Amino acid sequence: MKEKKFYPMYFIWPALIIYGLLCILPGIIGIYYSFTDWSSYSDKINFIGLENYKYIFTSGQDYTKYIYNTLMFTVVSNIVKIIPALFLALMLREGLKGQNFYRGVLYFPSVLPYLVIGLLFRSMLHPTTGVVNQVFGALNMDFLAQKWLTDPNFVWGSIFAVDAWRGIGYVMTIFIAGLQSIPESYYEAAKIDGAGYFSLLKHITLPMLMPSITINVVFGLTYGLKVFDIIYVLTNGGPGRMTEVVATGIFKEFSDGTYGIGSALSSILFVFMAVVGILIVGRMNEKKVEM
Amino acid sequence: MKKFLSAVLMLTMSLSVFAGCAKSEETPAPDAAKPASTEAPAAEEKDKNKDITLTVMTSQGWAFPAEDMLTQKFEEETGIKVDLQVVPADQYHDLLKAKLTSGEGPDIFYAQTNEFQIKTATVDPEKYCIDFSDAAWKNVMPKTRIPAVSYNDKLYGLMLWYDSPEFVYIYNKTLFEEAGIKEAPKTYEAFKAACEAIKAKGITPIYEYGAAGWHHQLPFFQIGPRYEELQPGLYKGLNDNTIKFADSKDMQKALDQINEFVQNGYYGDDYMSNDGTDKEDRIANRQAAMIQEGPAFIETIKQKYPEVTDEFGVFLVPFIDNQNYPTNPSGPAIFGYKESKNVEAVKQYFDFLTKPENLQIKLDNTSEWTNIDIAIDGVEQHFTDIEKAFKESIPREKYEIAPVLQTGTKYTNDQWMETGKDMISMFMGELTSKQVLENIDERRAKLAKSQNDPAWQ
Amino acid sequence: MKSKKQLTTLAKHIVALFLCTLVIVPFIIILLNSFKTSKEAALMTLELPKQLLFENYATVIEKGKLAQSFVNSLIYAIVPCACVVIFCGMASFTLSRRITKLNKFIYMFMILGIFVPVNYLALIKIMKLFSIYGSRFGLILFYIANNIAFSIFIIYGFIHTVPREVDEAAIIDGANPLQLFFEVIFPLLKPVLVTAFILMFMNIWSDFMTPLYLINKTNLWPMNLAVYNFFGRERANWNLVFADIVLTALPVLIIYLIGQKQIISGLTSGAVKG
Repeated sequence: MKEKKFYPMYFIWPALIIYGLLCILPGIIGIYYSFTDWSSYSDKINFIGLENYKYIFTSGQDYTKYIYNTLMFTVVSNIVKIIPALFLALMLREGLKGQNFYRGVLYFPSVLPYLVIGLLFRSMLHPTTGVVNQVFGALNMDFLAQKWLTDPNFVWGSIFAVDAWRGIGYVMTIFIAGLQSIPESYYEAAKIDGAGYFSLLKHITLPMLMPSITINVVFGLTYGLKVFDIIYVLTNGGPGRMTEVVATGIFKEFSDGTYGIGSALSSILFVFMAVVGILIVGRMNEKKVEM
Repeated sequence: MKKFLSAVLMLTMSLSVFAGCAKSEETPAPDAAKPASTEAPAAEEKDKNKDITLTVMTSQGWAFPAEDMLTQKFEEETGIKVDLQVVPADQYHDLLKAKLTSGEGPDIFYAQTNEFQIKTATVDPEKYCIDFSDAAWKNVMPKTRIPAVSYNDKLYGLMLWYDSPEFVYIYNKTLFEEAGIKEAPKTYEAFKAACEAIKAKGITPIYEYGAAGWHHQLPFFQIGPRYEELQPGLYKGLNDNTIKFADSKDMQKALDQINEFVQNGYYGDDYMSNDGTDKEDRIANRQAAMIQEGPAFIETIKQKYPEVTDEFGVFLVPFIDNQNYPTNPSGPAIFGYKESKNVEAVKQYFDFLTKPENLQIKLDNTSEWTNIDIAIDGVEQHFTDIEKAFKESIPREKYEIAPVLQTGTKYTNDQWMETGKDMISMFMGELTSKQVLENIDERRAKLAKSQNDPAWQ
Repeated sequence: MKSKKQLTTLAKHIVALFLCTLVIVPFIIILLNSFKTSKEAALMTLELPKQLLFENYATVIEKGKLAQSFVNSLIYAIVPCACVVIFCGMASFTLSRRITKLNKFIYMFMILGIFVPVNYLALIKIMKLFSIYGSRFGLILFYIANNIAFSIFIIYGFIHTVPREVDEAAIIDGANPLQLFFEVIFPLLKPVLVTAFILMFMNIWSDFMTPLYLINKTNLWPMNLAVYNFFGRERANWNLVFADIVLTALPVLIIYLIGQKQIISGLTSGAVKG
């Protein structure tokens, strides 16, 4: 009774309606298009069932490789961001002089537009005129100078490095927030019991940090699976098609005007992400209820 | 806390009111665009026009300073405002197609087109473009360019571009002489020997910019007439779908030769990272000896580096011993949007662009051009002496006989960037030349089917 | 013991300083080159400019129509953020206080939005249907819609930390639902709302794809797109492009520096707490 009155459903409506109309509805229409032959050349939209999906998995156009690259990017980019960010957060937790300055600076890159990041790093990583190789040259370490963005052996590494450069500060901020919510008394109690640094880390810090780890993983997964900008501005999928991912493939189909295939590719991504995401969020809520 | 809350609410409200007002201001008063006569508009005419704003959408690569100057001049003369939107080149066609497909096209837009690409480039001219068949400026364009902007015998667009094979090799003559090369190479073997000699001097023979994505595939496509010469009827067969790219031994050979150049290091080691922004510097500073560019490039170098004393020359792309000078009646054309609220103003803009004085402004302020390809008098062209002599030196039976490959065959120019990616994969050893050609065929088939082309049924 | 501790502190400083240098070098390149001449800037080196050209900034502000686009950006960022914070606050409040099957489902449904890829073609069609395409209002509504999922996700967890006793006390005092939420609960949600606000603000500020598709007139473009437009015309003049970047990035940096403490404390008390 009381609940109904004081927590009214009309509180939900504004958010739900705007969200439903402009976020979900276009998504659903997109899924519908994936079953059609819609292209910028056709006058009529015909329903063609699973043809587009069949094309994606059976044509010679390497879409399966794009899917593999996307998964690989998601896993690796998160590992190289989350683990160092965790240690940075531990380091910049409390008591280090100037920690606010450090935190601020490390966060800076995530506010730069991708266009700028692309321009800067493509220029800095240029094999002959780029700052990076010139510095190695000046230090007489020419053997370290590489073709960062065009050598198949280094291109993924360079992308991960730039991506980490951009994203670590953000991940770290979330960890710092999590660390600050751990009451100091827990540590004091454990120290009295004679626990060492690693034992504290294992038995107090990490378990208490689970919520921020989950958030970073959820954000990281959605970022990784949707990844587009960083690849687009750094390599545009190159050299050749080495670093193409699903999102660059969708972009390409849409610019070719083959909207049906583009929508199908995009729907695959959506369903996959939604399943993974809902599983994680669901687990997280269960835990919350338990606690 | 209450303060914070009310501040946020106030701000939100006032801003939304502001946004609301701004929105209603922006909505153009309907029918303000009464047909304006094309004669020199009187003051009241101008007054009437001041509520009209034409949106013009163009890509980064085509926004020569001339475009800005011309839109300003147009505003001054007619009172019609022009909102020039310059979109990054790689987003351009996607954005244009999305806007047209969803019924919200700009009043005027540019699109790359050729005879076969007209439908794919602009998303169906019959549906989206103003029919200009009766326009007075029709005869400004030379006959060769009309098919590129026509569909089913109706004229839809205006193509103002320059007449040139567009891409030849520009080379440092002085440097060639120093390396002991007496004349510009005419055969593949001579070309290779020249590169070897330059490379021995520690200079990169050819400056290539693969990171741009559109440049390194040029040599393969520019020599289209040579393929046709070696296998007469090739273009027709490719367009009837009776011959496939992968069937052509000559194309495969050309790709292999280009690949050999890359593997021999004639492009240097950073060709995949170069984006072309420093091309003048590299050539002027003797970091590279050759580059594939238009003949006007020589002038550009001299303007930027007046102190350079080296002499430069031009020669045709010599892969598979090509000696043909191709035609290329393609380029970005300008179209009017059929659903525009200001069709009359759009027409006025086209009339304006095609006036000789304005054509002259366009040519004079576009440093990449030495001429503008038009069929009327009254514009002073700036062909360079090198260019004139070069054109005359080519035997007539090889001069402008056939168009370049991407303009002479269907569904080829549409996949320009994709073919470029495949070629890079070939350079890296991931694809063979045959596979590159097969991929081209596969993409052509996909495109042809999406358009119900009877030859591909 | 003490010297060991000092040693670790020193090591920490060294690591932190090293990382900060890595981060800051590109920023310095941008800043230095924005004061150079066009020819100098093309080399994109770390050399000091021969002479500080402040007029680059004046040129950019005038030619790039930055004043107008700055106002646009502010509107596009502030209005949706404020609306989202209010709407999502309300929605999360009911959703988390009244846990029914339906509400659980609605919550999951709204979280789903984090994963939905944007389909611009379908979006434009829908916006045309409501005739909000191409207007400021339409773009603002889209930004609201697009940020709801993320905000509900952050705020929902936080509301658990506000004890129900607070509600009950207010109800006994005779508050109606609106008063209960806006006068009692909303202030208590401040930390997480501010965090959500700032994170959204920064995302919207650096977004360029959406306005490119949804806005038809350059005078309605946000700052970020103005950079693109400018970049398209002046791509030979790196110095101007860099000056433009500095001016565009500055507001977000300032917002971050001001809000840094808030972001962290908001996250602390909010979603990242168990």
